[in-house]
Amino acid sequence: MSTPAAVAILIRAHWRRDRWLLFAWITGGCFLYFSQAKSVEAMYPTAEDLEQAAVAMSSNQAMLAMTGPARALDTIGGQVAWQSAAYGAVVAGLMSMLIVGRHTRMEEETGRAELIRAGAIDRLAPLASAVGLAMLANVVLGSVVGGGLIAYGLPAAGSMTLGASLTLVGWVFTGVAAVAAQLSVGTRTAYAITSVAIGASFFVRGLGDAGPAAVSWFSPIGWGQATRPFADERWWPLALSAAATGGLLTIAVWLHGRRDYGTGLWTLTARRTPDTDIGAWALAWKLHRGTIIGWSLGLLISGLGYGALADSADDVLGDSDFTADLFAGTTLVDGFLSTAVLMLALLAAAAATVSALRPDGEESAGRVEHLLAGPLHRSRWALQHTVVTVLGTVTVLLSAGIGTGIAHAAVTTDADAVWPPVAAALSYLPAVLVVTAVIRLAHGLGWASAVVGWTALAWCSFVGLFGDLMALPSSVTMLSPFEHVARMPADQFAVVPWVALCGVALCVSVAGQALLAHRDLR
Amino acid sequence: MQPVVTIESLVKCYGSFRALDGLDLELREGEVHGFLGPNGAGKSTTIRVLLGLLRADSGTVRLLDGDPWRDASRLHRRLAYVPGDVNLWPNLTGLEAINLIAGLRGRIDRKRRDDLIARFELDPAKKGRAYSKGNRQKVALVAALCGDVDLLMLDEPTSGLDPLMEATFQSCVEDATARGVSVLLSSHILDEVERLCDRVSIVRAGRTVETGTLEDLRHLTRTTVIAETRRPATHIATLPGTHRVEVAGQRVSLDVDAPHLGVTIEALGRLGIVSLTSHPPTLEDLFLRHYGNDDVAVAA
Repeated sequence: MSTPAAVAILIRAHWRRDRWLLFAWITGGCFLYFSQAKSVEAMYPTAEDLEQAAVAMSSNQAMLAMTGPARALDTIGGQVAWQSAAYGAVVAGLMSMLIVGRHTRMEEETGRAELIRAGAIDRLAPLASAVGLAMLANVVLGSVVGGGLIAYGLPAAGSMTLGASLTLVGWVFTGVAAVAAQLSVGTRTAYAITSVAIGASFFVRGLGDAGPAAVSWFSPIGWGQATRPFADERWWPLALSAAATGGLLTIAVWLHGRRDYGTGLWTLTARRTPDTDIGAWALAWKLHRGTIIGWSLGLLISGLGYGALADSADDVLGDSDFTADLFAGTTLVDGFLSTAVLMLALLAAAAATVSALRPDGEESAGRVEHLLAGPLHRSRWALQHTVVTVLGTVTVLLSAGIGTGIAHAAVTTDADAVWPPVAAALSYLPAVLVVTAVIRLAHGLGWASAVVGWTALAWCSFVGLFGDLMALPSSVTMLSPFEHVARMPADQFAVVPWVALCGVALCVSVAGQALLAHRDLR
Repeated sequence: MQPVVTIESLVKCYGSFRALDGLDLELREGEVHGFLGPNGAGKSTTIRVLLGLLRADSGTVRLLDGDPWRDASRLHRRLAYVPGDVNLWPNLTGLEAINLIAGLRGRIDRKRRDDLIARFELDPAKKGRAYSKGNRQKVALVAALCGDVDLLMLDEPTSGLDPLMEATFQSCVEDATARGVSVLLSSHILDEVERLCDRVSIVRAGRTVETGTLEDLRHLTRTTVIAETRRPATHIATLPGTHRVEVAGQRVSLDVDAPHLGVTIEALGRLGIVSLTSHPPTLEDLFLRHYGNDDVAVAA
């Protein structure tokens, strides 16, 4: 069979498996852009309002670090590009990472790829089809964003540039994911490599946008923003992204040709293992530790970044009405820290979700039978995972808080400044635990707990980050446990909701545990 | 003597599909019981009910001295299980997996474990993801066989093993039965069942269709007779209890129901036997007779 024909067949098969996943990612990505257009228009009804805000925003380094270089902020298009492009790039990157990882390394790890590779197809066809689908998905994402913004009424050139830069950034991360899939034997490791690359790109462009602008040129996300949508567009930075994509894909193909099926560049070396007893507790820890350690480090570094920027929020902005609105805090620094800690807590909730989904994964993979065919009671097994998840959640939140606090204290040279972010991070613990408890409940009911968990987290993130801007009714936002936690350090710690959320998490968790004990295992 | 496993009229439904539809099984102490049936007959479902992973919809199930659902963790100290499709933790070595699975049941007999690792020629230092199917199977077998248990539940335990390892497995099971272990062996390898099993149960579509010792089953069924007679055995097909009669000149071959064997041989004798061979049905014959599309009932 000719290679293009084989790739076309494989892409169709991937599409069949991924259509809902793709739909969700692309819809979510588009929503990010449209919600900004809508909220900017709602917040600044007159040109004067917008101009005033633009002056304030463009000199706030903290905001620049979190979004992008300030260009044409007195236009709606400029605002949309500024506030959405960096996060849109992360969405495109994660989507590309999942598509490539699912259809390359995961297929090899599970052995399914053997069936495909045994067919009369070129060795590269599976890689090509995974990369092809990811690139197509990015084209669709960019087109819908660009076309949608034109339909919304924004200038065509800017909308197209914004859409195209989104597509191209997605392509670069597709290339990164394709290389990562060649390096490790495990899918999770490949995801971790790509995630770190996406995170580093975001961080580097943040440094550049808040400090020396040249630094942003070391980040693919920076290249996307360098196209200046709605602000005297230029197309040539897209060539950089295209070249990087080509380079990365060439490396991926070269690595693919140099390795055996099922192996990575880092091969496993057989070594003597110590003959020690390993119990169910040790297993639970072994299964979770990668998630916990990796996310703790990631959030520690992110926290250091936010903490380092917090103090500048005050210097630059003074006390304009707009910023008081934006951060809704007593002081700007505290307001900034509150928002930063909320974002970190939502990321910690993602880590907790991964961890809470472990028991379901173990059951689906058929590995739990070995344990439950022994004298381990299934409630005890589930409880072990829960304890590790809870401790892991505390660790991840603590790392985020400590990172933020240490950097903040270092910048302000005030040792006591360490503690407010730490306390703020820990104050989100029960909210995160409610999310994990909902996952346990879904697992106990035998539902697709991954879908339930990620949907719940997506909802909490949406409400937490956009709820105020979108002016959602409180009956809707209050479904998110994160909305019941006081926004420390801007607000005072509130004991009652904290204890109440702990109670909710405990009750839901216990219900999940009880249901699990009474259902058939898969 | 109290049976190790007693199952009566067990029913397990998945929605409207009755995976088990009144299944009966009795495993006596110290015996190796073969559990035969085509794919989808309900063998694995039965074993998973016995393991307390699935809950019976109706019927009685008794495992050792308790209820497999309610007393799962207490009973599991006394049994070991090998699934037909072993999944291991990708980042645990074979040795770690063995220590984990066996260690949950109690102290590990390291000498017996290392002896089994040697007999199965398993490299225990590899990570779970690096093992082939056969090697994953060996990990589960070593973990199950190295413990001091009263009951082994083996669900197609040798799928993926080579014939040499198959023989090793058989001798390991014989060692276990010599220690007094009862074994429930679900298998498609009929040689293995014939060599190891004292009794067998054949299931089909969630029901037990036959149970007993191999001899019992053979007595209940037909014997194949091939004879050469001086005068052609043209009328032999009119005798009761004869099946698949083929006469070619002086040669005749036929299947005879056990109760009619004597009469048939006498009739052949009157025709003047030149040569005579007869053999009892192989397990394969029994098996195919139950699963084949010909619904000729087994003579009772």
